[in-house]
Amino acid sequence: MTSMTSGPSPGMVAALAALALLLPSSSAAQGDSAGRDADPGRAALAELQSDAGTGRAGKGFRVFIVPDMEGAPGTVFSREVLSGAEADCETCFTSPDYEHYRRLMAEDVNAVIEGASAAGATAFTVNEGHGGNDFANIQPFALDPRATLVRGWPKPLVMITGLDATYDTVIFIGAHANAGSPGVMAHNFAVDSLTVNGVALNEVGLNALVAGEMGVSVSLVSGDDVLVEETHEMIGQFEEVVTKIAYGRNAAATYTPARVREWLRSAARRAVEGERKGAYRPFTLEKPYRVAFTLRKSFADKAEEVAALSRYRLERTGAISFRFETQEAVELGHLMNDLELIVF
Amino acid sequence: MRFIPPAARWLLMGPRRQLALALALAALLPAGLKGQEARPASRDAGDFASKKLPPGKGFRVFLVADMEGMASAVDTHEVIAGVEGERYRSLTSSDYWDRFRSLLTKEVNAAIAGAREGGAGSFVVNEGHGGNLFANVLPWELDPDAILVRGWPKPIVMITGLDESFGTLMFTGAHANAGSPGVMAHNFAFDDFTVNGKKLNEVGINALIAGEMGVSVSLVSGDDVLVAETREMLGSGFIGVVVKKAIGRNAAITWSPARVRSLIEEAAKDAVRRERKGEFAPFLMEKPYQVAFTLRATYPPEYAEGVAGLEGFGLERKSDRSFVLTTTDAKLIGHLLDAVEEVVLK
Repeated sequence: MTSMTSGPSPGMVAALAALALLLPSSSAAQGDSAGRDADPGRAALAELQSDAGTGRAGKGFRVFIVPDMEGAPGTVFSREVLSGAEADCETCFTSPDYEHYRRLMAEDVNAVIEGASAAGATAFTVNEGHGGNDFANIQPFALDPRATLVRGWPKPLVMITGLDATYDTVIFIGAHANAGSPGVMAHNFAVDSLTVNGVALNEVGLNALVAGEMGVSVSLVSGDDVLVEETHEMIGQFEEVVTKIAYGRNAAATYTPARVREWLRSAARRAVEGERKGAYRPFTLEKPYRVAFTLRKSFADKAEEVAALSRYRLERTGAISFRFETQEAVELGHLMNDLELIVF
Repeated sequence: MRFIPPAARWLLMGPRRQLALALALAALLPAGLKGQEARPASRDAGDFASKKLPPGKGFRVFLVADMEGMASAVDTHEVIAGVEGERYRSLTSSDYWDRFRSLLTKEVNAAIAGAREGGAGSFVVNEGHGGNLFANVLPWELDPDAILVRGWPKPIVMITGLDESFGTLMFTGAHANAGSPGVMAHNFAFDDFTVNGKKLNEVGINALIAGEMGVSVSLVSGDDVLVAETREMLGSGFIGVVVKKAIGRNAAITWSPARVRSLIEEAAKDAVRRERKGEFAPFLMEKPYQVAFTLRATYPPEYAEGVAGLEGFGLERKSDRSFVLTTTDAKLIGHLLDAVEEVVLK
């Protein structure tokens, strides 16, 4: 794990702190050994905690799942993936269908867990990758009881908070295509474009780079046809599930949720089997990372504040364009968070 | 549902809510709520219009599902979500959300089941109804084998995704033409739409575009007015299912949804069988197509100005609300429908 050789980075510390907050304390987890033995969920939590940040666990196969909603089967409108709790006007940006889509989101995650489990995976962490309802879309009672769930907001590395080198694979489902692409509800954080060493990265690509630096590879990606194609070009080989074909920013020919669930189940099984055979490689780029990004045009008035960010030693290359160099991929995740805080 | 202007809503919410909303919009769904501003101009309808669906196995059925002509529906509040634009805001009800969408999905499932019995192997359903912006069918209740085309805008509205690989085209829940005595009768955004002087309803316009692809219509369901006028328009070569008898714009004597489902299932089975025997012919008209249309009289003047400003169609304005164009490509008519809908669905 490259970042550990020079001591934990601030990002790593933040990630571990977040993980610690999410897990029960040592005493709680270990206090009642009889209870723990009788409760596999509790034992799994204790195991996850003891392994976190300490390198490969050496036992079991650990899966990190990041579900998003714009690339899920069916969804085409913002209101279908927002709860209304993000704003005071509860009826403005949501739809009664949101409740259905969040249920389907949990069922998709469960299908991935079942498929991965059938191939021998033993530990599952699910991180809410979608900001609807402030990153709390999956109803915990609807989730496979074997999983731990990273939910709520804000969280240090957003979509992959909690990921570390103990995981054997990372899976993205319901992902959406990059800003500027002809995908359903396509976007990329607060930027119109982001490149590292000249390679354009979407949200999956950016998170794959952070994971790749930890030695964790991406084994499965699902989303619309645009997302799947562009992500293959970005990060290479993985199992894919196309959920829908984009016919507009808010229109698609979608496969049914029932069919996609079956595909996810079998793809997750193949993904774990493939990962064990070394079929996928961690996504890495040459260091130092030369990062270039352009703010979304609508945020042009915030460019001065971005320029004033001292942490990243940004060089301004245009009115809303910047570049910088870094040795650590987690800095990219933190930058995305900082940008969002600034543009509003 | 009380309407509060967006700016006022923003001012009324607290700072935490403002930040939360801003983040939700920015990080996650930013462009979705910004509409045109974030949409890259170069990637619009042109790119999407050239896209094809992946190939399907066996005999392919393309099904266009509308709502005004489905079993039992007689009133706007049963078929409208309230999100289609300002003037629709108060026109929805729980009947739409809790009942008719599910009934619609069951009607579609019945057509698929029948077509499957008739020997069809793959099924594409296109939302033909603008309620909830073309998102009425419940994906989680739909026959799992189907592909569902939903959302808006989409390149050829009601038949987006149709191509030469399909064996037949079916319309369920269709409604009669604008100006006719059918239940909730209308025709896209028009009071009148003709090609070569012949009046076409929504089924007719789509049948013409499909006909140019060599795809024929095998089943049409709706009220008695719709079925009769469409027979006259296309010739008698399809199976008509009358689900209700119109006795007013918002009144009908209707079969029960269960009865209609079984009628549609039986008809879809026959439709596929007869289509495979070559009993139906694509609907064709002489080229070039002389298209003339008049926008709805109820629209404000700016809609007509918006349509007058549309480029790429060779539109000639004949009066305030009337336009003509000439084309040899029926697909262009489909793209025009989408462009007009984008002007008036605001």
